[in-house]
Amino acid sequence: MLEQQIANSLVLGSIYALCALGFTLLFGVAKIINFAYGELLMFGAFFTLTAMNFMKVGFFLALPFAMLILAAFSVLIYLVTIRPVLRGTPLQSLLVTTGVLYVLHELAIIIWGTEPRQMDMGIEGAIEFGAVIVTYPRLIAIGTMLLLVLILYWMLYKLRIGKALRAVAQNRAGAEAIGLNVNRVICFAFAVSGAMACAAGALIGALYATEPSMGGAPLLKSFVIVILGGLGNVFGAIVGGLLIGIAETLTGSYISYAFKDVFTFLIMIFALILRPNGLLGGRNQ
Amino acid sequence: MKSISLILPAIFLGLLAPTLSEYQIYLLSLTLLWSILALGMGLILGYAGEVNFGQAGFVAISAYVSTLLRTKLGFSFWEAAPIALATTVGCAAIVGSITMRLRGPFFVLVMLAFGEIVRLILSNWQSMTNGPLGLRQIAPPEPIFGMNFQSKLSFFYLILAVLTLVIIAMIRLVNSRMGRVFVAAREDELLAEFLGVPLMKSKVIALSTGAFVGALGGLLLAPFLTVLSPSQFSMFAAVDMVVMVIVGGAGTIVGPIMGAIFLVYVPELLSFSHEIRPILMGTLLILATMFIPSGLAGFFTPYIDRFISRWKTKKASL
Amino acid sequence: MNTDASPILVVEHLAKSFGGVNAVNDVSFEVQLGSIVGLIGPNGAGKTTTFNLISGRFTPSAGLVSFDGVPLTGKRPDQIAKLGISRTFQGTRIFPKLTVSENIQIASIAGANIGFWSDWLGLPSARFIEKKAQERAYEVMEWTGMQGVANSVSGSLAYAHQSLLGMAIALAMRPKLLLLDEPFAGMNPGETQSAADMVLRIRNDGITVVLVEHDVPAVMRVCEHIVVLDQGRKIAEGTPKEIATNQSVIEAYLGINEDA
Repeated sequence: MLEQQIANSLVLGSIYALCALGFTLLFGVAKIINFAYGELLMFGAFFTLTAMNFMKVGFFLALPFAMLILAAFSVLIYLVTIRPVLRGTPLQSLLVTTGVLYVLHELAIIIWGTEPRQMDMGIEGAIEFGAVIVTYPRLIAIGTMLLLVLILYWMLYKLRIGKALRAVAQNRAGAEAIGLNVNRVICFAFAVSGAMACAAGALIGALYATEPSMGGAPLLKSFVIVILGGLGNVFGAIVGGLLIGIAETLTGSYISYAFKDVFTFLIMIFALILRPNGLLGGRNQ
Repeated sequence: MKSISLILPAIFLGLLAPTLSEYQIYLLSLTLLWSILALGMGLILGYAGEVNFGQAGFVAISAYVSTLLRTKLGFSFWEAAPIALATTVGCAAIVGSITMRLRGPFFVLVMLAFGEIVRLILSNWQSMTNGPLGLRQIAPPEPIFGMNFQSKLSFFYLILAVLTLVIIAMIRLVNSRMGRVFVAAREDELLAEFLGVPLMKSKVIALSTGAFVGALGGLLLAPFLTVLSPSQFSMFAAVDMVVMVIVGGAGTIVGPIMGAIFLVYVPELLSFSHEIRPILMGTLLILATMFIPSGLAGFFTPYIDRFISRWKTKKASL
Repeated sequence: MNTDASPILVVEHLAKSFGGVNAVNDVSFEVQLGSIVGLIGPNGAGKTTTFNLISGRFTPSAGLVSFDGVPLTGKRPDQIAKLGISRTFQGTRIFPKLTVSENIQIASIAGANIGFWSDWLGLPSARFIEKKAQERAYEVMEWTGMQGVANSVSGSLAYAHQSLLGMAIALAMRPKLLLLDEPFAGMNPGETQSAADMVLRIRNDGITVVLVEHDVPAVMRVCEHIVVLDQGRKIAEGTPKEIATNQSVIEAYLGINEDA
């Protein structure tokens, strides 16, 4: 029934929003579309899983650890592959990140194989709101999204580094002129983006499955959400994520499960025809 | 001019082919097929200035439509071909008129979404396409005009012929008014529009032409591989084409072909295992983008240019 | 009043607002065939916006523009170009990576009516039109005196040369009406004089010219008819002598003490 579907869609939407946040942050600050983002997300899931297995700790201890590793990994990728073409054409950064996508995807297959793995959050049970049932893991997904969004907003608007991020996002040349080390700011953006990707990946891995191909769909959905919500617009990413979650769940249940992704894309294309600059007009954060 | 330098190798290959082993014929056919696909991608990249991550969608439409017409309705390859091509170009025109208004990331996204939509439809419309399992035992083209395509060698000649035609058509495009105007419009759209270039129409034409070439590839792909499945037409297939174009040199005709040669033969010659190939592709893409933005063709262009300028001064004195 | 010359361009109650700001407000004037008309006014008067409205870059919020009796409203820039209106741009737009000669050749062929198939297949009809376009391009190059730099990459030319190239590009299209957007910008008096002479030669060649300029003395010398805009409205219209002594024009310019 409808209420359950809405609840499910909020869960899905929260995950999508989390995916999109890291993606849009990178575009806002560094003006690049990171095609390797989905693979970072996937690596985040695998790092969490590996941490859980090797360090024999639970999900909630492994996750922050993995987030740190992925943040560093993300920065490494930036420094080695993206930074050299940062001042080039957008096509170049697109191509470079696509190359990274390829490498990471295959690396994951070599390291972990193609079999899907399960990750156990370690929390059983569900909560009932009237006729709606939400399992605790799913509730945690929503909670994690809210927590990370709050942290992100606190960082962006209360911390100095947040101001620096916003400055570079709005006007890179100007930020340089007032003495900001743009390179370091962008490094930080990559780190944060990597951490968010890790969290999103770990949640997807725990709620669904962890496998090397899991990054493709989140990448595409994040791309859609960010375009619709406005490139670089954090609020738009959250709203967009929730909307896509709703659209996908509802079309999946009421129209066709097999073709739900097709419908989501068609809705997106339709939206772009009506508003070629994105739903929220593409303001920078 | 350029046409001679590209037709000669084709003739050479044609004469050499009967002496090669079946494995070498297979590699050559694969290379030529990828050349066609890469040229289609290169056309859009070079003339519309955008990466079309949905190009595999066009290839897939052509491959599936032609094969389904043959298996379900008993059409011959030659009857199915024009229908498949027309369908693909039609889809491209529709998609083009939607995307022509979109800039940069928006265009990339919608084309990517298009490719995904095609793949998803092919994967989920089980009754029509047999879903993820795909279509098998696709027969070679039926004999026509007394020519038989059962053997690998004869199919190779077919691919070679199609590639040659595509090259000739592209040379004509480069020399035509349209081609030159496309290139100028890429530099400064606003100026081009005020000079009388209908921008939207031009972009749709560029996309449709690229789709047509991709569709030609798709037509030949089905009988060549003898199996079709939706997973062959993911975004990764489009990326393969992009890599060939970039490594070989975007904006040229030779470039995508060189890219295809490089990317089919290098892994083969070095006997890389299956897993390394994507890593190789990815690394090559990164390195090529960073260090040789004008690709292999760009690297060799100064030598070719010297040859051409000598020819040009000869022409000017006529 | 010259009653037997017909207006080639008629602008009626033209208006354009951008988010509440009236860039152009109820502007009307006529341009007689074969004349040189100047459009002047202080900064922000709406001169370039008017050009953009005529050439199809923007759609009017209100009003009508007709060219040779044909209404231009709703037409795209490329359609308007093909009707016979060509223009230059403030700051000059050219194809910097192409040579001077290639620039002019592209301009002469871009709007030509060559069918898709005849173009691609290289049919005789297409080749004929191409040959004509090449002849036109050569003509324009000689006419503007640019043969000397024909094979120079246009991006490397001095600004005055680029400006001249911009004009040559517009001329290559064989226009009936030429819109020049600040043709004398950034020029010293000597260069301005040559450019002004060129404008006169263009008109004598049968092309009607409308120009937007800040260099008021140059406009006075070159134009036979002047339209003055201020803050989006037309405040005066007439011969150079009439404009020079017009009270509202003087007042509009009083606030600005330096030249453009």
